[in-house]
Amino acid sequence: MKRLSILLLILIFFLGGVYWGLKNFYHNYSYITLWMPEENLVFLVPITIKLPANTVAPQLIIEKLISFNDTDSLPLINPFPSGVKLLGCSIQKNLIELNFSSQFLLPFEEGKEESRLILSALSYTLGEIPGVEGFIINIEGEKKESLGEISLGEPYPVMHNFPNLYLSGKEKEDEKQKILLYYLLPRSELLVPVTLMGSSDSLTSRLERLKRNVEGFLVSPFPPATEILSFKVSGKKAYLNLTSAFLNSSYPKAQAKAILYTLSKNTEIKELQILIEGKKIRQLNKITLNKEKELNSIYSFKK
Amino acid sequence: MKRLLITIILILLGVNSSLLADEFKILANGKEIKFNTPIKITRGEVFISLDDEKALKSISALLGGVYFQSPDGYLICKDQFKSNLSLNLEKIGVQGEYIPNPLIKEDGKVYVPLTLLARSLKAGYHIDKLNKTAYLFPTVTEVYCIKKEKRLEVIVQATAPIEYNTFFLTQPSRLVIDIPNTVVNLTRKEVPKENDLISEIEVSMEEKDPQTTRVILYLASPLIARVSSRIQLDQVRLKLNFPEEETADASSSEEPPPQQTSNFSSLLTQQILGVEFEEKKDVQQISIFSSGPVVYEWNWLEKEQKFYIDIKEAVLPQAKLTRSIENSLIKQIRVAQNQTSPDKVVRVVVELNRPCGIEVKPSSEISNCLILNFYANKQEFENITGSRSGYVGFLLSNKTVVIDPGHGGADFGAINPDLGIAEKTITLDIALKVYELLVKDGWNVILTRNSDRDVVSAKASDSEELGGRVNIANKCNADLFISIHCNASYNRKVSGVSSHYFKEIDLPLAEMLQQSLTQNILWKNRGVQQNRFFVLRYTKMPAVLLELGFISNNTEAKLLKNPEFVSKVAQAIYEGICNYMIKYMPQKVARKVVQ
Repeated sequence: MKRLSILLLILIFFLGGVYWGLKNFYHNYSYITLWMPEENLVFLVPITIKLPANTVAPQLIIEKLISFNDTDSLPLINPFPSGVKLLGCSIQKNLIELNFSSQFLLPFEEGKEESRLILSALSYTLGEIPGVEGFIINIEGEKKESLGEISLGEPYPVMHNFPNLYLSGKEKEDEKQKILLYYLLPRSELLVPVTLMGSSDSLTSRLERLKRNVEGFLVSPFPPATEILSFKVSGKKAYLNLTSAFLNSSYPKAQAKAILYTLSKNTEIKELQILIEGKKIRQLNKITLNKEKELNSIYSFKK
Repeated sequence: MKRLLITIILILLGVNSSLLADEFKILANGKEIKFNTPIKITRGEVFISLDDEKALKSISALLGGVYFQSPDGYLICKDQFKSNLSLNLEKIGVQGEYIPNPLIKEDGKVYVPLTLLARSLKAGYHIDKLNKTAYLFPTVTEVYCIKKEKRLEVIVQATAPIEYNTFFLTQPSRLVIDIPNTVVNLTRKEVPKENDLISEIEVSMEEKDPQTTRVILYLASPLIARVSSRIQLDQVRLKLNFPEEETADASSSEEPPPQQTSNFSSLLTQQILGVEFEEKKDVQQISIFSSGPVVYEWNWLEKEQKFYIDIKEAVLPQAKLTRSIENSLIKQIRVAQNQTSPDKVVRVVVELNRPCGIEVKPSSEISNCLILNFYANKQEFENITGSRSGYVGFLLSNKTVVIDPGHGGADFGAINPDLGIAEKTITLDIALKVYELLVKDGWNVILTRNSDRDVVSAKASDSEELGGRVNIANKCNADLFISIHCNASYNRKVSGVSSHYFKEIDLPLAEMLQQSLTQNILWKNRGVQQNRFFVLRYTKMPAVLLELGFISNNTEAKLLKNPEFVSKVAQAIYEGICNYMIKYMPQKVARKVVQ
């Protein structure tokens, strides 16, 4: 009995250790999303990076954002002026107070479009942190009423939903519904979520709208002349039968991902089976959403 | 030798004569008739083959008749299918009477003289040998009046569909109806004995091109005439009102001063000869006739739904005129001597049942005539105002727009060192052009700065300077605020135009401006973006900040330096404002002026 008790104790400790180890293993890394402007400075592109779990804090996220240096390999622009430093970062209730060095002011003073994108990049990136509603910017510890033309009279809100809202000014009367669609950045595999206005958010409406490019800034995942031959959803899987023009592109897998992301918003869809004129294509088999955080994972693009 | 010459002349005449028939034209009611069988000219008379059914049908139809073949022969009917001409090759009947046979037979074909056709269609006939043309005209047969309870109707009856123009003449006062392409053969001319409106009617032929019948109504006093919609195409029907006991006063002094002035410079006193109202397909038209060029001002009273136009240095021989219009758009038209000293002002007031589009323009066809067009259909009006041929404007009273040229003075804004230009200069150039367009259109326009200066002071902080611009707009309770800027980037390839809004009420204005800008200047559409610009955040009215291209992009910067391009951008902004007003503020009446 004594032996049994000892064995049981050993087993409990062993299993506990395994559990603790596994837990540590899986929590060793956290995925965070940084939002960076594309080259035309119209849209922000989400970039997923992996950080050691115990290091993840708003301060580190902002530091990663302002020092993002993968813009040479990716068609992105870091809007933060060189030399800018995050001097402080504190959280008060739902607000993050950021203290930047004076270099931060430069694009605002020069009236550069990058200044607007700095605020958007902060707003989108901090919006990824649960519970954060807004942020305050101080320069060298001093509160500012305005930065260039921008008012800072009250906290700047973070972006939670419907990023990259694009209104062309040509929207029709009945286009009151926000639709989130995923496009591709030209000459890249980077996916860009864009919110457009439409008359319906049905899956077929999303696919139809997705066939058109966004004003020369973003590319549709459906290459020109691609026709949708059939579309159906069964459980968590969507089936899309397309003409062969779909393959007239360098990134069919990224295109498929963009379509899957578009279809998965507010639906159960987690998998996409693309058929080309009724036939399965090896590289397009079982496109799945394994993890929410894999969107534009930086490790996929690093040379 | 003499004989030879005569022979040659005779041969030439013969050739000429044979050519004559080939080249001869027939115009029926102004339209040329095409023939399948060549016409014949014999003894100076024109003959048409009875086989050419298509030509005969055309002639008959254009002159209000019907041609057909029946077992009894060939028939031309007019006046509710009462037979006017019957041809059975044996007997010829015209309006019930048999006449000697005028038909000719040649090459197995039977030809009928054009004069006979004219007679049976009650049409006028004229042959111009010099121009080798025969004309068949509708005939003006009756001019008479019907006296009704409150009005007198003047009816001019013709034998076939007619076109007409009406206008006023002075000394003595006359209302003229010109009916081109007609002849007169009056069977009836009547003027009621006891009426205060028309003293005499005169009908004459005017020897002009085209030949025109002129009906002149000699007026006992100026009047408001209403030309009825065309119920019958062969009739002109004018409704003239008897002077009424005035209940409504056109010279009401509660109306504020007018807003818009014409460009006429005449200071001679003119007489208002009359006002005409006509309902057309898509528009209701009021024409104001004067004895000479006039200076005018107009205004719109939103609450009272009243439009009025003041005609300066003008007199109305009669004290007041009132005309009630029974339709869904216009309630009443009133004309009165609003002022006699120091200035002589005639005021025309139009009471409306509901807002509508209004166009004010001098008539392009009749001198000394001012046209007011009232459009009930919004789409129709929008179609017209969307036209680039004219300029679009608004009939606005007490509507203020603040135009804010970004930066200025010590604040250069963004700069392009290559081209040596600063944002503050471009924004001012564009703002001044927009200002000109809006002021011309009757807006109350305020510029936050009209020269290269700071709005507050060179030493003011960003928020103080921007606050100064916001205060200007808020203090004057502006209806719209538009801040004009240029964009810049470290990346010199970045380009395009964007409109920025912050409050929800800003969005429609931003959308309209962005649409107009991208349609007119065809730059990259960077979209309508929500951003917390200081001037948008703190203004109380719909406000938009425009980023008009990238000064850092040399291609766009060069264009922004070009005065013609600046005008184009200003026009696009102006059109965007107009489109916004039409779409989102329909209670404010809009107008268009064609220049």
